[in-house]
Amino acid sequence: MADQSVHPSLKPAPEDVPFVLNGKEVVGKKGETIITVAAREGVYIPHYCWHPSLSVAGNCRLCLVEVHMPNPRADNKPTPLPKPAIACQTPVVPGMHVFTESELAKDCQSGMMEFLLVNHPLDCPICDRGGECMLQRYSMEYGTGHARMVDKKRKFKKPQADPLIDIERNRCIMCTRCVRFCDEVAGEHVMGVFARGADNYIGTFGQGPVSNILSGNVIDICPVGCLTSRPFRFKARVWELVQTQSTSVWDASGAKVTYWTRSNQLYRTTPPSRKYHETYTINEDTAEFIDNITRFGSDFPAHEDRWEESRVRIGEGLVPAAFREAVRQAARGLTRVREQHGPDALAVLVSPRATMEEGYLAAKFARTVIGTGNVDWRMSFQTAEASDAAALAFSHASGDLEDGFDAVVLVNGDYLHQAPVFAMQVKEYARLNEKPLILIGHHHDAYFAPHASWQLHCRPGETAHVLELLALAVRGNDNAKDQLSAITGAQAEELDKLLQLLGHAHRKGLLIQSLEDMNGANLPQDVPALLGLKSALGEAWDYIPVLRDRNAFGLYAAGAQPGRLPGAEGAVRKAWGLGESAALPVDSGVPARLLAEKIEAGEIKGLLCLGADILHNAPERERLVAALDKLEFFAVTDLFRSEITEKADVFFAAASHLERDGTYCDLEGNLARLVEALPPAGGSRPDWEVLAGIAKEMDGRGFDYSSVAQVFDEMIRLVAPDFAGSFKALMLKGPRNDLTIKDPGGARTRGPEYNPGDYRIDGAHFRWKADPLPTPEKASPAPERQELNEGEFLVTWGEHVQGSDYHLDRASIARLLKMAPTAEMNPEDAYRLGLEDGDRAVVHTGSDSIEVVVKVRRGPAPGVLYIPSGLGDARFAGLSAAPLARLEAVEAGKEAAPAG
Amino acid sequence: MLIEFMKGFTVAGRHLVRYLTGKGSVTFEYPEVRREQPPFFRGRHRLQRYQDGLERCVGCALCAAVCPSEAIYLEARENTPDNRVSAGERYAEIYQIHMLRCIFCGFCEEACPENAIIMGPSYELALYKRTDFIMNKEDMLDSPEKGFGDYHEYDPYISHVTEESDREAMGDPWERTGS
Ligand code: SF4
Ligand code: SF4
Ligand code: SF4
Ligand code: SF4
Ligand code: FES
Repeated sequence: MADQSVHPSLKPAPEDVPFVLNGKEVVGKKGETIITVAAREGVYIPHYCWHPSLSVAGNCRLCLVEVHMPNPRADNKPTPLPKPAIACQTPVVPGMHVFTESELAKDCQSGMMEFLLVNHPLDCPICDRGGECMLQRYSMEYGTGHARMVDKKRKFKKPQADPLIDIERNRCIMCTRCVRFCDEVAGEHVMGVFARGADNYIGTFGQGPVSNILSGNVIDICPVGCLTSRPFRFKARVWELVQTQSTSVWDASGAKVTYWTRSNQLYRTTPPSRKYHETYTINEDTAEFIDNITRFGSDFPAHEDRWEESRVRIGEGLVPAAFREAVRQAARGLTRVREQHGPDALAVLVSPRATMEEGYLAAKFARTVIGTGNVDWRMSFQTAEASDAAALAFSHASGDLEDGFDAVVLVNGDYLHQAPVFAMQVKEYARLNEKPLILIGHHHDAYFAPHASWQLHCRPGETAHVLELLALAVRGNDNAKDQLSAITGAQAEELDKLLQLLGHAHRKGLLIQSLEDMNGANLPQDVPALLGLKSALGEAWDYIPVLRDRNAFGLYAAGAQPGRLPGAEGAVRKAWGLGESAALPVDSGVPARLLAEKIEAGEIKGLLCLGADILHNAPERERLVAALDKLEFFAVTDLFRSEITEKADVFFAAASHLERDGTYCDLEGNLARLVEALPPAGGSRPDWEVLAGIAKEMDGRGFDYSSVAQVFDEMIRLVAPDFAGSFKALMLKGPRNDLTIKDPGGARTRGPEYNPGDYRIDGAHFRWKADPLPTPEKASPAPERQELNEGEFLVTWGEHVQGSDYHLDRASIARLLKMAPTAEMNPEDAYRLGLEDGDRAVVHTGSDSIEVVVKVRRGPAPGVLYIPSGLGDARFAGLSAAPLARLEAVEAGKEAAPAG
Repeated sequence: MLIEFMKGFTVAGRHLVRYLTGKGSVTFEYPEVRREQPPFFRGRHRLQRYQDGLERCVGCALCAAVCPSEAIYLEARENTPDNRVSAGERYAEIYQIHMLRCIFCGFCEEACPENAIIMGPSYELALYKRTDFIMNKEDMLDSPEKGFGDYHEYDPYISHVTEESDREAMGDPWERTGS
């Protein structure tokens, strides 16, 4: 039995602590604080500095409560403590009595409110926080209603630090939530408290920006209007906006969001709002943080390039046409190609940002109406083999972060910039619960590295080998352990401890693998190797593959790819009205990755593309765009006019993610509802209507849907037969569907509104139990190691959410979300080359040179450079192995690193 | 019944005599003669300015929020050094009141934290076109010709960042701490 010396998480479970809260017997756990137990019990204690996701600072003193302690000298009778205690820092003690609403507690609260307002400007009419401000709220509920401060108030000048976050220091109450958020959750030390006493103010070090991908969350968690959103600045008052609970179209983690709209325009995007009293408002205590791309980049449909009506080609030009006419033209075009060249000359592409319903209909349309298996969404992979490896990974996916874990293994990848919220949740769970993080591979996410208990570094291409050795070592093969030690440079004792920890069969573990790493170049080896390790570790281990594509899992589930149907074949045949003998192409099908090749070879003659972003974001964009000219018929649904839509024979104006309904599935297999927040702009239609229209025009049967809910019902019966909820029930509780809301200012209720709660619905958790892969008997031979000279590196890469993206480029503040190319390197290498974090350098790979900002992190293995693909000119997609690169430092003049 | 009838005629007769003799007439020769309004008469809206010409309205939209007939529409913008419109950081770029919807309840006046909108004495609100009833900011703002507001003293809101209050503010914290 391993003990705490192996890892601190291996400690016994904490004991129960019974105590009395406001006269009610409650039970807490040893080490918990009064406020956490109270929150769980539905007792609201006012607080500013305490946040469920952050460490305790105990500096606002608003949570003061009256505590009576059992007195051993007086027969354990509860005796009042001489001073009130802060609920956020006082641990619960057996037999204590806590009063949160006594005279003393109320007096403390109103006293503290008066102190906090001493220097507060109270310019609520100007403040963007007005209407959702904790200071306003608590002033009404706990304040005195008048101020005794007559002197001049302290005033600070306004800094211009961050382009996205406005800092108005006069309003700050010094709760340090923002500082702790940056340090602890975002993992970047960029904000701090400066000066002393009354001159205290918050700021950023060196007046730099708060630039990391999670930084926008400080806006929400700031309890006052000190940190406000710049893009949203003075655009509207919050009470004028209509809230729609929906989901992010960016983040594969499945981040839930609230879209705040007014007069057909999106004003802001925040984490889900919560019910407070009789209305919904922003959630300052949220743990459901969202990334900056979701927060600031969701308004891309409003771009001026938007085409709001369908068009058909007449001669050289695309002319606006009625939707029905476009549908007729598309049906005619597809039929013509099918008649001339057969069904397999047609292909249907589905954008990875399409909803499950659209993916399902595309699959049904391709297989039943056209009669081909050419339907796919997997464009981002390096090779067709990588797409297959990804499909293998998906079929083995299991587990959910919500169930927690006792240990987590992360293999290769820049998780924070591929699935930001998921990465944050993993790190936060491990950090808050002191669970071990184990990083394996040639590039570890620098976001996790500071918290890692074990880091096993190797060279690119060796990951599969290392995983196999680890699996053998877990099985007790000492030889494998020695080899592992040799290849990763890990010390034998450390490995022993690691094996001891992994060997705890009763523990719940999580294996996480990025399918994005090097565009999947190594996936065909890495996926089976990791699945082998999973079998070696036993039943208690789950596996979650991570992909940047928002709805990858949903489209896989809906059968929108070759080799997969939405359900069992018999059930699918029945639902689609196909007899036993009717053709149902499943396995035959061209992977999207080979599309350009097949078009060039003249095998694909007609293409229906749902969402042109899949073509724009393709690794081989230029080749694909050129190949489109060879098509005999090309129909596309999209939001914007672009060089690709110019080539279309039929263009359908698509409804954006704000304008349609549907479901998305995140990489943990949970469903999330996309809810129509705005009416479709102009004559745009959701893709499912386009598909159903064309199908009916081509005499397809079973496409008579009148709403997307019908498509969902048909699909979910195949995909998840034991799904218990409904399309409607998938929508998060919010002002639009919460019938308990009467009017603001009505009867006040207090309850567990703290946390928006659990969104999981029975049966809406998609997992496909495939048979476990066997652990290999013998590790595959180690690949030859390349000798690296001074200044030479092997380059690995991964797509970056802030990289070039068709939709992101059209967001209103795209310019600000863009980052300069960076190159991460190991401190060892940086030390040898005399480079520091933030230095500039030029990376030469073959004929290409990229200027980068050096980031020194414990992420990449020694001798490895990690360059996010898509930032600036950095583009590596298309390479099948790590290229050798020479790095040259650019003069000593240092520039601030746009870190991220 | 006859008694009531007689009572009514007596009143009418009394007024007839009064009118004919010209003593105590209740009507007057509008528009040559105009009636003085009581001090808190709720007539046509006025947007006030400070003595230095800055608008009082900061575009907080509280008036729009409180308006029972949803007659007010406004869009706010941020003041910049080259375009300083109001005393605060925010000003109303568009400010409209739909006078056909307005019920002259005076809630907007009451809600305004800046005493920017007040209801003036003017009750001459007839216009020929329906669209003309949408009053814009220019139609309501006090102008030098009309005179700036005489209603309130100039008291910059404590936190308003005007040049003057900037000077008053403690120096740049970055300078003070030398970082
Ligand atoms: S932070 Fe809150 S109390 Fe302070 S000015 Fe803004 S809205 Fe008013
Ligand atoms: S800026 Fe906001 S979050 Fe940060 S310390 Fe001040 S009040 Fe707290
Ligand atoms: S007077 Fe009443 S109805 Fe008219 S604009 Fe003001 S609040 Fe609205
Ligand atoms: S008139 Fe007054 S209440 Fe209306 S927006 Fe301007 S400052 Fe706010
Ligand atoms: S919440 Fe306890 S001191 Fe701030």
